[in-house]
Amino acid sequence: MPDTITFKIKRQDSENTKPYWETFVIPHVPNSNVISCLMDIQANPENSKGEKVAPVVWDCNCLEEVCGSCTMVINRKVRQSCSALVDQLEKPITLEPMSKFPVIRDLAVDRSRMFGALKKVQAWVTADGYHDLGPGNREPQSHQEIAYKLSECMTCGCCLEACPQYSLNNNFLGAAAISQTRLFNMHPTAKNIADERLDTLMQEGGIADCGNAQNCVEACPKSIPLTESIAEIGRQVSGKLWSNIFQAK
Amino acid sequence: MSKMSLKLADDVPEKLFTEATKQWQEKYAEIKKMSGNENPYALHREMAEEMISNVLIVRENSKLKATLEKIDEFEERWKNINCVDTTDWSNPVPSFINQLWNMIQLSKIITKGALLRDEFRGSHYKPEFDLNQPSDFRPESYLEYEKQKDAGKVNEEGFNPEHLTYMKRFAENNVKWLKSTIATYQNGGPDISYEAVDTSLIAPRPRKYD
Repeated sequence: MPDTITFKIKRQDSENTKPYWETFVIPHVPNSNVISCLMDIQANPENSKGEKVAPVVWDCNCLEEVCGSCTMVINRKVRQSCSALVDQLEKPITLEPMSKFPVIRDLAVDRSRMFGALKKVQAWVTADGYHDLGPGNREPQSHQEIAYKLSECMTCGCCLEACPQYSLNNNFLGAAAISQTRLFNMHPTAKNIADERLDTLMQEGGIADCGNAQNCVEACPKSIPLTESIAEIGRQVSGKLWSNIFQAK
Repeated sequence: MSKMSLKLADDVPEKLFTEATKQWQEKYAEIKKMSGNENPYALHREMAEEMISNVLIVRENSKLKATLEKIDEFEERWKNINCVDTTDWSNPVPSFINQLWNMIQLSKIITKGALLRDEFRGSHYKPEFDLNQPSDFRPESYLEYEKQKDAGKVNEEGFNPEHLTYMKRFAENNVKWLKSTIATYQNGGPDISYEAVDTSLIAPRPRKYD
């Protein structure tokens, strides 16, 4: 094993400034991950030319690949930096922010559009009010098995970074929100507004924007069957379309 | 529901907010001016290693005492920190330096509280104050012992003699230490006092560590 690890990091000082590449050489620590290496850079923020620079900025939280906040592009592949083990990566290691979201600074991006998409499709259980609603309907076992997997989505953005249809310049809701629509449309309580969710997905930025590239399902770190979700929502939307045509409002 | 007097943000004098804003702006401006030669992240790492080595599960008074002195050194070294990023956009460094100060204060509380407690309970172990629980001891027998004590007469012959002396040690230790540690900030450091623990709902009993 080499005694040092070289990182090439795409940095950006603010939202509107130009990105630039900076190289850092840090001591190799066995079993380290990309985040522990970024912390080493923080503790000694000096680039490969020996210049003192500002420490690299990134987001992280859970450090166990369930929160999604440390998602970045590592060696050209989008993934979580907490679970990116340095000993398994090709060197030098390149780190870039995701390209489908506005960069805040360095590797930190603004993923609010993803959360906006969840709001648009009303990805929540619609039980509200101050009175006691009593127990909800039971969820059948066959649903639980599908729903559990779908519920593992952490809104990290990998599916959107890999998607050729999703870009900074359009308003496609993307695979994550479509899959969450499937989750909530099968929930015994949340399905009462299934039609509203489908209406949203029939509009601009909805399911019709999917180009069936199937990159999303390849990129998903949680192995969520996103293409199955897209197919299922496609079926639901088609059904809704026919009922819209034949049913008077 | 009881009637509460609701105080809304609008009822609070504006001055409270403007002064708090000013206080924090000044604090951050001071932090940004820090130009010593300690990297805050390296200092944090060093303190973490010190705490993990000496103030974790197994605790010894001599090591706790040495760590307390070490934390005072960290506090001095904090004053010599270099704010390694002084830009104004999405800069996490000043708030980290501010948090590090609070971590130093919290480390002092944890270490001093542990040092002054000449016993251990919960998930901690202080080998110097081991009450030497007999290996075949069952915590339920302590509840029986307490029940008899409360009734006014302990049938001492009914207990294994080794268990009985252990239970006496345990009861005696609780008289002194079944208390919550309270830390108050006095003269730049924690002042430790104790508060009784409410045991009305569940009777305290020895814990088995095997």
